[in-house]
Amino acid sequence: MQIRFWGTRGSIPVAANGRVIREKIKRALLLAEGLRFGSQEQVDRFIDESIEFPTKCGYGGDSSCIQILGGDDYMLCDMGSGLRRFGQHVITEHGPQNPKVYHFFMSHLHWDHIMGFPFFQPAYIPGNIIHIYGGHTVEVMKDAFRRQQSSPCFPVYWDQLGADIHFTQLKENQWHEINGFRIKLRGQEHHGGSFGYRIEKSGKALVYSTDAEHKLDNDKNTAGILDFYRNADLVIFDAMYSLADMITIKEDWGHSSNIIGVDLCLRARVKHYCMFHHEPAYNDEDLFKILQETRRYEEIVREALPLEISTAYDDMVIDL
Amino acid sequence: MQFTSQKISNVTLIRIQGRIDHNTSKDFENALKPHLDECISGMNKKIIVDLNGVDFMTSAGLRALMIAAKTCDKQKAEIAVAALQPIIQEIFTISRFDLVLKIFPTVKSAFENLSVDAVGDYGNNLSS
Repeated sequence: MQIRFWGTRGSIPVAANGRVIREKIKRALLLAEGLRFGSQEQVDRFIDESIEFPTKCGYGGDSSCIQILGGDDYMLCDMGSGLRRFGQHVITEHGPQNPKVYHFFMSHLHWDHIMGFPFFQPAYIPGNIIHIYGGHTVEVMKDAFRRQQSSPCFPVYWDQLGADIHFTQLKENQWHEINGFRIKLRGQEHHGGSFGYRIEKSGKALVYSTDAEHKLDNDKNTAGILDFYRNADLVIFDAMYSLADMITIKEDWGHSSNIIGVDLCLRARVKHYCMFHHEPAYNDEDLFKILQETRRYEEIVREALPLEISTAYDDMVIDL
Repeated sequence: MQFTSQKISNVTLIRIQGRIDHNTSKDFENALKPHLDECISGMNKKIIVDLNGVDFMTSAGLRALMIAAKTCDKQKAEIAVAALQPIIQEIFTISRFDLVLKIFPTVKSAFENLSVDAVGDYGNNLSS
């Protein structure tokens, strides 16, 4: 199983502006002061080895969309703005006249998780088959997509789409066999409800758990979360806020914190904890600092095996 | 986890010792509860939590502290934490609790901030 992140930002897409890029260039030039590069390879080596991630790269700004590779068909979770780039990638790879099957698993239907669909080119091409699965009812799912592609929000209406599109409500807490994977849903605390997914194949387990406020104020609920995460190889987790923000001014906003993620993943003996759904107000330096702090917290509270921790970025790939 | 409490002038000083994690956070909440109930009834408006004896705390403990702080805030009462071990101070910084809670380097400095009247009694208490 391989995971590819097409969008990792929470709530709304963001983009680096000219000032941000200028600051990155300035920092890189200062680091290179006095150096001479004799070849392109030396430049690449300097970038790879001497410049930190927030300067040489960045976390990206597309909203939630991840691809799970390892089945016969395309398979993704959520349709944030990152879906546009995924659609372009498919068209580039196969050309427009090569029908494919797509399986989408929706955490929920808030705008930042469906906004990529009107820009998903394969949806306009007859012959493509699109399955949209979720824990919400078919009526609720259809309504969200139809309203997004109707006047005055968007000029191309839902009924003008060329692909064959099917909606399916999946039952919670039972296994579903789709595209060669075993998939289970679990309801999460979020406005209007959201669903986490446990996806398994060939002895590997991924949990996609975004837009979830884990208050940990109910032992039974916490035990259910721990069971859902148990021994997962990778948990993609809504780490949008600091703990202080999450339980003060942003309480009931529907999101979790970086250190709640550490505590849950350690208790569930998860191997790799990946922070996701980044606060749009955070820049690359903020997210990098939070990653370092989160790793330090894990080091302090860890009592058994270490937990690998990463921060998702657009185009990141994780092999399980 | 062990805890003791004593009333010093108009301040309740709660001393906590041990680990505060998901296994013990309920005990921590229970240790704080009677004093928070006094805040609600108006009998007590100032609490200092001495964390000098705490060497381990996870988000479960932080959450219990924040619930206490919110309860105090609603009752226009004051709560402060004091004498954090460096490792606990680090956890407060990582969780950004250092931005939302009153934190003092020593219990004495917490008394000086919360109740000038109680500082003398706290000093007497130390020497007795």
